[in-house]
Amino acid sequence: MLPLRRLVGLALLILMLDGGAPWVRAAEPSAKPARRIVLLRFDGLSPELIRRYVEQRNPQTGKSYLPWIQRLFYQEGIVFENFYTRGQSLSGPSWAMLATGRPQPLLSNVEWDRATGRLEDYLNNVLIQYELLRGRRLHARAVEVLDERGAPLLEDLYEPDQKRIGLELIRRGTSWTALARVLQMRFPYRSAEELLAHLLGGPDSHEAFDLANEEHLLANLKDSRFLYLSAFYTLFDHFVHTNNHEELIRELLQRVDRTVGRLYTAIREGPYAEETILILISDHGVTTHPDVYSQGFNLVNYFTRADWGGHHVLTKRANWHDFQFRSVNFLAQGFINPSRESLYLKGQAHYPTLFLDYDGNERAMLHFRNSDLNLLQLLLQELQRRRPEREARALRAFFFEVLQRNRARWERECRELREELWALDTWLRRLQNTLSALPAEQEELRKELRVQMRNLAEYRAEYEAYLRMLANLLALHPENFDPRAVRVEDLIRPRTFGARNSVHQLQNYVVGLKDGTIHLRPDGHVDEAATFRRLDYLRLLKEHRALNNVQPQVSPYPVDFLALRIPYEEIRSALQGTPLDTGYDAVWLYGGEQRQALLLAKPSPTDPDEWLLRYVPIARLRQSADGTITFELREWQPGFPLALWEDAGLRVAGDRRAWLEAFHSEREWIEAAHGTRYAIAIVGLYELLGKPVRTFLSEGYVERLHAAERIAFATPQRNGDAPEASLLLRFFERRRRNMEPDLLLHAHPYWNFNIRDFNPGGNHGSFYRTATQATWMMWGGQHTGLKRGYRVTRPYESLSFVPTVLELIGATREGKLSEDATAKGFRPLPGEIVWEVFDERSLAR
Amino acid sequence: MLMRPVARTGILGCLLLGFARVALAHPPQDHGGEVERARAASETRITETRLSLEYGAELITLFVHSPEHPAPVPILSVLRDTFGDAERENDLLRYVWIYTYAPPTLKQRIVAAIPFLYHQVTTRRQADSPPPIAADLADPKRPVWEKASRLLVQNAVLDSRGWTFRALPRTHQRNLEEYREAQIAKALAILSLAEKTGRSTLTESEIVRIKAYLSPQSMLSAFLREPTLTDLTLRQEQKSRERRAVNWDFLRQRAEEEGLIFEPLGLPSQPPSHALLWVSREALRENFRRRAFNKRFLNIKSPWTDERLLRWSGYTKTIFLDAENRRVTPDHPEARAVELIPLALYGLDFPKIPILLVDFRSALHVKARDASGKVLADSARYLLNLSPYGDLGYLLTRSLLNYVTRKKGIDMNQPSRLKAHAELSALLLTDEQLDPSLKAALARKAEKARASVLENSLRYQSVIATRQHEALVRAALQERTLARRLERDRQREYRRLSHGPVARAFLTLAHVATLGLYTHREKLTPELRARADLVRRMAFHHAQLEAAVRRAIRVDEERDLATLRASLEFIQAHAELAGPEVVGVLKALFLRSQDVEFRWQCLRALAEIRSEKAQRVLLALEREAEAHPALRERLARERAMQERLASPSNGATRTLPSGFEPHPREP
Repeated sequence: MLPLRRLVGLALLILMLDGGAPWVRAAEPSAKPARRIVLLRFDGLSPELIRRYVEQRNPQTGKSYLPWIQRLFYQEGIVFENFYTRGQSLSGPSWAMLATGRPQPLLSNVEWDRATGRLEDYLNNVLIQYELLRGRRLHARAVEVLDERGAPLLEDLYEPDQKRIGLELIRRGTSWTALARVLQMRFPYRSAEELLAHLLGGPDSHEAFDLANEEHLLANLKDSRFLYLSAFYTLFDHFVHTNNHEELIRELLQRVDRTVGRLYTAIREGPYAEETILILISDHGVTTHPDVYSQGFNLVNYFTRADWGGHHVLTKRANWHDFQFRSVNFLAQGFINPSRESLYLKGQAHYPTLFLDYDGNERAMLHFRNSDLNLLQLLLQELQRRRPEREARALRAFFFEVLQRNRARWERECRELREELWALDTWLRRLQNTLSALPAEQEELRKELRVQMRNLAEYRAEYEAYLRMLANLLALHPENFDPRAVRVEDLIRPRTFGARNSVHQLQNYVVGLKDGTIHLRPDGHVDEAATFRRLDYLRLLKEHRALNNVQPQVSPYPVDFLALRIPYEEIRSALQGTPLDTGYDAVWLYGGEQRQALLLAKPSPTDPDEWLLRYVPIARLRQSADGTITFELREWQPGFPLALWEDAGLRVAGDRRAWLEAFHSEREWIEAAHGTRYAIAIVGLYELLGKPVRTFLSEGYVERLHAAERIAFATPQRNGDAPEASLLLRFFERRRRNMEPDLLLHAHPYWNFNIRDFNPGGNHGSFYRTATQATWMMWGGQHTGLKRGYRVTRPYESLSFVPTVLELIGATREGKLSEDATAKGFRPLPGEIVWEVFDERSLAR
Repeated sequence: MLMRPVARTGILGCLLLGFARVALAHPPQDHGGEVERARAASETRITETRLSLEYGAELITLFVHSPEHPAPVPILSVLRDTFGDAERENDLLRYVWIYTYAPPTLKQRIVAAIPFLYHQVTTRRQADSPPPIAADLADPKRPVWEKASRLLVQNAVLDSRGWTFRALPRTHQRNLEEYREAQIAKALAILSLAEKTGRSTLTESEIVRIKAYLSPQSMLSAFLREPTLTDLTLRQEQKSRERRAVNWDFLRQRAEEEGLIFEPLGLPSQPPSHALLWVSREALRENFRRRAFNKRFLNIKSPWTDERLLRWSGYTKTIFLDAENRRVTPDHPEARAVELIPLALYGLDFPKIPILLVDFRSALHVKARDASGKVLADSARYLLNLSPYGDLGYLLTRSLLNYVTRKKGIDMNQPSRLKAHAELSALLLTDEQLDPSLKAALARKAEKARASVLENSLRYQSVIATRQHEALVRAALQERTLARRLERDRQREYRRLSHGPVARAFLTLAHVATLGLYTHREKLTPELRARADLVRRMAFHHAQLEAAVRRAIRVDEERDLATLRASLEFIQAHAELAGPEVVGVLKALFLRSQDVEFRWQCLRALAEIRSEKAQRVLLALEREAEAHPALRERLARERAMQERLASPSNGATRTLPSGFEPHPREP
C-alpha cells in the first residue's frame, strides 16, 4: 500500500510541477466576473500623445514621462492601439455610445428640431445642474433623450447604492457632493499659501471640476458597497483646444498619469483590489500640431453677410461669446445672431433661417430653413405691399404654385402628425393612470413618470403648433386669399424650418430678391431667375478660399468636403438598373464639382443586421427642379473625398480598385481603412447620414411604461402592440429625423468652425484618424480574467466597449444577456465583444 | 572642496583685472582665460558670457545680437554666488541687473512727477554707472517691505497734506515702477530665448527662478514658497501662450473678414507675440468707397475710405502670392506681386483682445487709448480724491466700467500696454526678418504712441545698455563695490547661522536706531564659512527631494532613486543642519515609496536629525515600517546590532525609537 501511495504522490507532484494537471489548475483561483469597475473618462485624451510620452524618457526622473500608465496598462494591463469613435469625434454622441453601446444614440452635442425649433444642448452643464436643482428634471436632458430612444446606460446595471459617479455628461441624476467639491476646489482653504496662490492665479473651473471628480472617486473607493465608480475629466480637452505647446500638453498628460497612479494606489489599498478593473477611456482624440495653430472660420460672420445669404443665424452659444453680455445667460435656448444685411428679413431676427451646430469645431452641421418657406415668406411680404395689379397677380400665382408643390407632402405630414398626437394623448393618459395607481413608496418611479409626462406634453404642444402652421398653409386658397388679412407668423412660424432641403434647393437656395424688384416674364408670370437671388451653398462653402495663408501646413480652403443624405426616392431614377441601386438612402460627399462620391449601403444577404457599404466616385451631381438627379461616374483617382485611393494606409487584399468597387461589410471597411487619414469615416458617415433613423431607436421606452404598469396594476394593461405604442415610436422617429442637418461640413486639417471663441490649439469633431482615435486601456486585478501586458492591435470602435465590459462584469455570458440585465432594459447590442482581452481562465469559464 | 587655494585665487584676480581692461573696450568680444564665451551659436541671437570673480561669484551676462548694432547688446546679468568653487550645490543666485534699466536723470525725475503727463519729454542718452539691481533673488521680500512702507507714508502722512503731496509722489512712483516693469518685461522676453536654446550657462531651474522673481506678479507672490511661485509662473506662461494663440487667430479672422493682410511677428522659436495688418494697394483701388469696414476690435479707421492711403508715400512692401494666396518667391510660375501698405501693429499677449500698438496713420489715438485707463484713475485719485480702498461707490463704479469695457472688448480703459510695448522692443532688437526701414518706422511710431514718461528712446537704449554693462564689470573687478555688496548680503546669511531670530531682530533694531552707524558684522571664520556652505547644500538637497516628492504618488515608481539617495546621504551626514521642513520631506518620501532600501534610508536620515519633530515623525513611521515585512526584518537586525554595540555602563537614556539610534558623530 505504502509504495503505491508514494507512487501516486510522486506522480501528482510531477504533474503539479508541470502544471498540466487539470484538477491542479482547478485549484487555482478561478476567474470570476470582475466585482468592481472603476472608470476614468477623459474627454479628448489622444492615445497617440500617450504612446509618444510613454515611450520617452524623462531626463529629470530617469523614467518614462508617464510611468504609471506605462506600468499599469502597457506592462500589466491592456492597451487598445486602434480604438476609434464611431462617427463624428464629438463628446456628446461619443460618450453616449460608450455609455449605451448603441449606435448614434445622439446625433450631435446639440440637437435642433427643425419642425418645432426646439434646441437641446446636451453639453450645457450649468443648465443641466440648474434644472436638476430645480427638480424640473431627474436626469440630464441627454439621458432623458436616450431613454426615449430606448438606450439604457451601463450604470443602470447597478442599484443606486452600488454606484458612485462624479459629475458627468451622460449619467442619471447628479452628485451634489461632487458639485460641492467643485466649489471647494475653486476656493481652497487648506493653507494660507494655497489660498494666496489661488488668488494670484489658481485652478480654473475645468481644473477644479477634474479635481473635485477625482476627490469624489477617491473618497468612495474606500467603501466596499460601491461596485461601479466613475470620474469624468474635462481639462485635457479644454486645454488642448486653446494650447498646442508640446511641453504643456506633456505636463497635462503627466497629470493624467498621476491620476492613474493615485487611483491605482487607492484601489490597492481599498476593497476588492484583485477583483477590480480600472479603465481609462476617452471619447475621441484631437487634431493638434505643436507648430500649427488651428485657424477659425467663423461661419456666423459669413452667413450673416449679404453675399452669403444674409441669414439670421441661430447658435447654441452667442457668436464671440466672451464679448456679449447676453452670453452670461446659460439658460438661454440658443442665441440668434442677427444679420444687418439680410435681403428680406431685415429687423426680423426672430426669424432665423440657419441653425449652425459648430461643436467639436472641425465639423459643423448646417440646418437651413426650407428654401420654399423662404420663398413663401418673401412672397407674402411682397404681397402685403402695394403693388401694380399685374405684379400682384403674378406674385399671388407664384405663391400658390410654391404652396402647391409642397401640398402633397404637407398633407401627408399633417395626417401622420394627427395620428401621432392622438397616440401622445393616449400615452399621456396611460402615464397618468399609472401614476395615480402607483403606490407612494415608488417615489422614484413616480418622479420618472412625471418627468416623462411633462416632456411628452411639451413635445405635443410644440408639434401641435407646427401642425397648426401646416394646416393654415394648406387652408389657403387663391379664391379667398387676402395677403393683407393674414399674419405671417400664422403661416410661417419663427424658428420653424420645415422639411430638409433637397439637393436642388441647396443648389438653388432662395435668399432674397436680386435687385429688390419683381421681374415678370412676357406671359405675366414671375421670372424666377431674374427676380430671386439664389445661392449654391455646396459650391460657395467648398470654394471659399482664405486670403491670409500664413501657415504653409494649412490649406487655403477651410472646407474639406460636405456631406448630406439623399433619400432613396430622389436618387432612385439615377441608380435604377445598376448594381448601385440598393433600395436605401445614399450619402453624397461633395468635394467640388469634379470630386464627389456616393456612399451606398444595403443589408447583408446573410445577416440583415449587418450593412454592406460601397464608395462610388462621381462628379457633377445635380438635381433639377422636378427632382431628377443626374451625376457622372468617375474612375478612381486621387483627390476624391476621404482620399481612399491615394492613401497608403488603406490595407486591402488583392487589387485595390477591385476591392473598392465592391460592397464590403463594416468590419471589412474598418479593417481596411482604419490606418488611413480618415480612419473609419465611411462607416461613421453612412451611419450618421444614411442609415434609416429607425435603426437608432428601440422599444425600450415603451417597455419602461409596461414595467411601471406591471408595478401599478395587478393585471397587465395594454400590450406593446397597442396602436399608440407603435405611433409613439413613429413620433420619436420623426423627431429624430427632424434633427438631421441639411449639410455636414468637414474642415480641412487645422481649420475649425468655432464661433463661440477661438480654438488655436487643436480641435476634433471630424472623421480624421487623429480626432477619431480614442483611448481605451484597462488594468485588472488577479481575479478579473483580464490579460496582462497585452496590446490589442485589431481595430475596434465605440460599440465594442459596452459589450466587452458587460462580459467582464458578468452581465453577459458569451454575449448573451443575463436575466438581471434583461430585466433592467438591456437588449442585445450590435457591438463586437473584444474576446482577445480575456485570459484563458476567463475564456474557459 | 569648498574653496580654491588662496594662491589660485590671486592668480585668478590678476587674470580678471587683465581681462577687465580689455572687456571695457569690447565687452563681449574679447574675454580672458577665465571668461568663457558660453556660446556664439549661429542659430541663436543670444550669447552669454560668464565672468568669474575672485570673491567667489560669477557674473553671467546675456547679450543679444541685433543686425542694427555692430556689437552685441547686453541685456541682463545675474550674479551667481558660488563661494568660489565649481560645484552647483552651494550656488546661490543673487542680483539681477537689466541693462536697459538706467536710473532716471534729474530732468526725467521731475517730468515723471508731473500728473496727467503721459508722454516721453526727455530721454537719457548715455549712462556711466552700473544699473540699479532689478531684483535680489536671495532676498525677494525686501521690495515688498519697501513698497509697503512707502505706501504707508504716502497714505498716512503725505496724502493729507494737499494735492501736491498726493499727486506728485504718486505719479513719480508709478512712472518709476512702470519703467522698471517695462525693462523687466523686455529682459524676460529675451531670457526666454536663452531658455529655448537649452545650452545656457544658467540651469533650467535657475532661469525659472529668475523668471519667477522678476515676473510682474502681485507683490504678495514674494510670500510664496519657491515651488509654488514656480508653478504660478509656469501657469502664467501657459496663459500667456494661450492669449497669444487666441489673439493670433482673433486678429487673423478679423483681418480676413475685412479683406486685410495679416502678418504675424515673433521672437525666433517663440509663438508670435505681435502682428501687422496691411492693405494691398490693388484691393484698395478695387474697393475704395465700395467696401464696408467694421472697426470693432481693430480700432483703426476704415482703409476703404481713407484718401491718404490712395496717395500713400510711406513705407510699402511687395510680396508675391500664388493663385491660392500663398506666399511664394518671385520666380514661382504663379507668382503675382502684391504691394502692401502697413496699417497697424498689434500686441497679441493681451487679455481678451489684440491690442493696438502702432497705427501707421495716427499715433495720437493709440496714445489716447493707452492713456485712457490712467487718465480715469488719476482724475479720480488726484482731482476727486477718490480711492478704491476708501470709497465703495467708486470701487463699484470702477469695477463696473472695467467689466463693461473688457466684456465688450473696448480698447479703452484697458490694462497697460506696457508689456506689449516692452516685448515689441525686444522683438525689434532681435528680429532679423523685418526690413530695417520698417523696423525703424515701427520703433518711431511705437515710441510716439506709448504713454510712458520714463522710457528712454529706443535708439539710445543699446548705448545705455553697453555703457552700464561696462560700468558694472568695472565695479565688479576694479572698484570692488560689488564685492562689498555681496559680502554685506552674505553677512545676513552668516547672522542667521550665528544668531537666533530674537537676537537678529535686536541687531536689526540697533542698526535702525543708530541710523546705520552700527552694523553688526560676523567674524568670518573658516568654520562659519564652511557651515554656510553646508547650509546652502542642505537647501539644495532639500529642494531636490521636495521637487521629487511634490505631486508624487509613489516616488520609486516615478523616479530613478539614485539622485535622491545622494541627497538622503547628504542629509544623513549633516543632519544637524536639517530644519523641520526637511523632516516633512523625509516623511513624505518614506510614505510615498515602496522601495525598502530607500525607505530605510529615509528612516536613517530622520534618525540622525535630533529634533522633536523628527522624533515624533520617526515614531509614527516606525509603526508604519513594522507593517512591512522587509522593513520589519531590517529594523530587528538594526536593533540587535544596536544592542550588541550599546554598552550597559553607558547609561544613556533612550530618546529615539529602538533601532534608530544615530551613529556617533565625529567632533
